[in-house]
Amino acid sequence: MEYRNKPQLRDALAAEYVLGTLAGAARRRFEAWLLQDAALRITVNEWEIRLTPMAAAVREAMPPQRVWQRVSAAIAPSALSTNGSRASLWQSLVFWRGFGLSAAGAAAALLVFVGVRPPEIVERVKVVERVVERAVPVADGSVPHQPSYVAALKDGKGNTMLMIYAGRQAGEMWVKFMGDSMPADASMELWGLDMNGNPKSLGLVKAVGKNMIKLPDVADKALHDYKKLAVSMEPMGGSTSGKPTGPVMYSGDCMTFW
Amino acid sequence: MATSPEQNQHLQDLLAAAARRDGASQAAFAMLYQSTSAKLFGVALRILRREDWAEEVLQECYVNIWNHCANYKLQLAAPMTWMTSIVRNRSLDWLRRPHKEDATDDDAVFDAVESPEPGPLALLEQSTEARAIAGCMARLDDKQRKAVSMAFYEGLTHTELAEKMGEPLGTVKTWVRRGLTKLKDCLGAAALSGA
Repeated sequence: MEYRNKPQLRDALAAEYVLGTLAGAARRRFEAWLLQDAALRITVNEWEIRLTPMAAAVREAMPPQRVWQRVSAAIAPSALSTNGSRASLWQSLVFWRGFGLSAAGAAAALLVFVGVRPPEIVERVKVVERVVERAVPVADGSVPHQPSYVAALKDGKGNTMLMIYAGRQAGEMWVKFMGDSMPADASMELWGLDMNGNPKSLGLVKAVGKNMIKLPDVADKALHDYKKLAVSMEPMGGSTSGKPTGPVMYSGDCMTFW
Repeated sequence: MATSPEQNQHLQDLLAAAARRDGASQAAFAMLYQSTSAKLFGVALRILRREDWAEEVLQECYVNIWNHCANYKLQLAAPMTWMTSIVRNRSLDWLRRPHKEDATDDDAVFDAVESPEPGPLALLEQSTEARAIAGCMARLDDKQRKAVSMAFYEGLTHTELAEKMGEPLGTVKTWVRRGLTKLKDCLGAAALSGA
């Protein structure tokens, strides 16, 4: 076809295709060429990279819940997962590592659920619960997938510094520290705060990537009453009074997840 | 939404997790949806101007993204660019499908997604790419800028642009073509200078 040897024409057509002004039969013809012409696809890609960032100026609009419900119904496996995996999102080590790639990315993940617009969060968490229920096969009639506890603890500037997760029936929780370091002569102590804000120590957090903290009971009992989690700076070894004595460094809501 | 390097990485992680098709995939995809659907719905709504159409397009696109998320890694574009392109293309197809009913200019819907061209600076400044294109858009002649942004944001064809701008078709085509050429040159120069 004559367009093949005309780089300027190819570029111009790709640009108008991406912009959207290429319409009607010309658009359909162009799409047919695209299927056969890898170099042309790259040219289109390049124009997408150039022009699509203009979409940043479009005001966001929250789609109604039913859109996600239909999407999740469409992508749900008709038969439950074939590999018999019971891995949940949070049990998947690889996925956890994925979050760890960047603190801000991890924060963005949890910010969706924690810290913004509470009524919507409740709705969103329900959505995820439904999705995960579908993703986790229940073959033996046992209790379907259990909720878990998740918290993202932020510093005063709103940066997520700690991510905390506990499986519902687990006797421990995992704490991921995303800060750089701690003063050598201090400890970070984690507190659970009940409805009235009364703190109870949950243990010390080390200033290393990932900590495991033993809970006094399964998470469902040990964490059930806590609405918030907070970390204070304490003398080495932690507070001896049973109450926080140093400044609160990080805090965040403790959420029942799935 | 911000498309910082961290956010890009986050979206890439979610796409990769969704592509693995294991017990975590659907939850990862739910997170991807939560992180991106408001922006993509805004894009579809702006072009389609009808909520019911935008909902339908958005739904189709996310199913499409789910089906093709394994292919994402072959893409040059950032995740948000890739997904936005899918939504824009589908919206344009939908808008121009044969025998469609006319989009009623639902003012409420339109007001909700209206933003002055070339877009509120605050929003455009969210990412380096968006800043670069905003800077280059600002350098176009007024008419070129208007033609390019109306085409991009509202999904107008040359003929529709000519009608809306009250100018001859040939003139509008020239504005669009020259505008695009200038944008390409300007963006190339911006990339070279590290802007």
